[in-house]
Amino acid sequence: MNNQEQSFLQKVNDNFSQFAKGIITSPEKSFALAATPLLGAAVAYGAVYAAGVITGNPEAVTSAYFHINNPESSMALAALKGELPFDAANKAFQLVVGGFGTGAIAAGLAKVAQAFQSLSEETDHLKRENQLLKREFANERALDSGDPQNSESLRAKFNKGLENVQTRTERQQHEQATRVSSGPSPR
Amino acid sequence: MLAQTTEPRPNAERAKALIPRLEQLNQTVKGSTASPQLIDVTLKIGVTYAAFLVDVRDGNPALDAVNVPELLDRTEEHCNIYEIQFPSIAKGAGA
Repeated sequence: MNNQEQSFLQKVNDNFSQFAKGIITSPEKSFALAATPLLGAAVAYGAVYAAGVITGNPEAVTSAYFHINNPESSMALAALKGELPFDAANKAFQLVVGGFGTGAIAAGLAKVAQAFQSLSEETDHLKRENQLLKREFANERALDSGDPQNSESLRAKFNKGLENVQTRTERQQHEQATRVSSGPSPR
Repeated sequence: MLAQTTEPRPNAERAKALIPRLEQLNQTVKGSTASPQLIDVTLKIGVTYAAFLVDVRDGNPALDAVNVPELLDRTEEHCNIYEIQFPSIAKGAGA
């Protein structure tokens, strides 16, 4: 990407960040959005790709292209467990967890694909991601059912993942705050 | 700076008007000589706006929880940025 493209995408991303904030403003609101799971999922994906491509953050890039290295795993599930290398991505997915692996996402994607021919590859990718997630959920449930004590294990994993992310985010925010205050801001 | 809507228009109507604009800019970028990263991120972000517009068009009641007019302004701004500034980017990339 040349400089001109880079600064153009910066503008696109600044606007997109505001848009995303308007959708995922707080955990409470994201639950209110459970009836539009596709929108939540799409925001999470968009934010991860934008962070990866525009900021060039290597952890964000790895997260955004998770499916290339892990073709048989769901990126969303990895995020829900706090396993993606980019914490903002983990967080975004955790906020919109309600709708994943559901028929509502598939139905919404069909409508988007119909209205937007330009996005057929993206909707196909999300459809596949949704199917993978459904399958992995089913596998985990099957494993869980063998041991009644583990029946809450998936939920427990999410909670653990959430805690991990929280801790790491706080640490990073602290590091960033110290770094920014010690020098001139890049601009 | 966001474009202000002068007269109140129903959200669904605004969404219907934005759908072809978003589709057009996606097509333009896809068919351009811009870098693969720019094309990729445009489409990945595009899915988000697309999902939002389809929800607004269909009157999904769950959207009551968010500020739809403000999000429509953002979507419109996205279209504006591409319609106004992308042509010169595409030219630069081809050179």
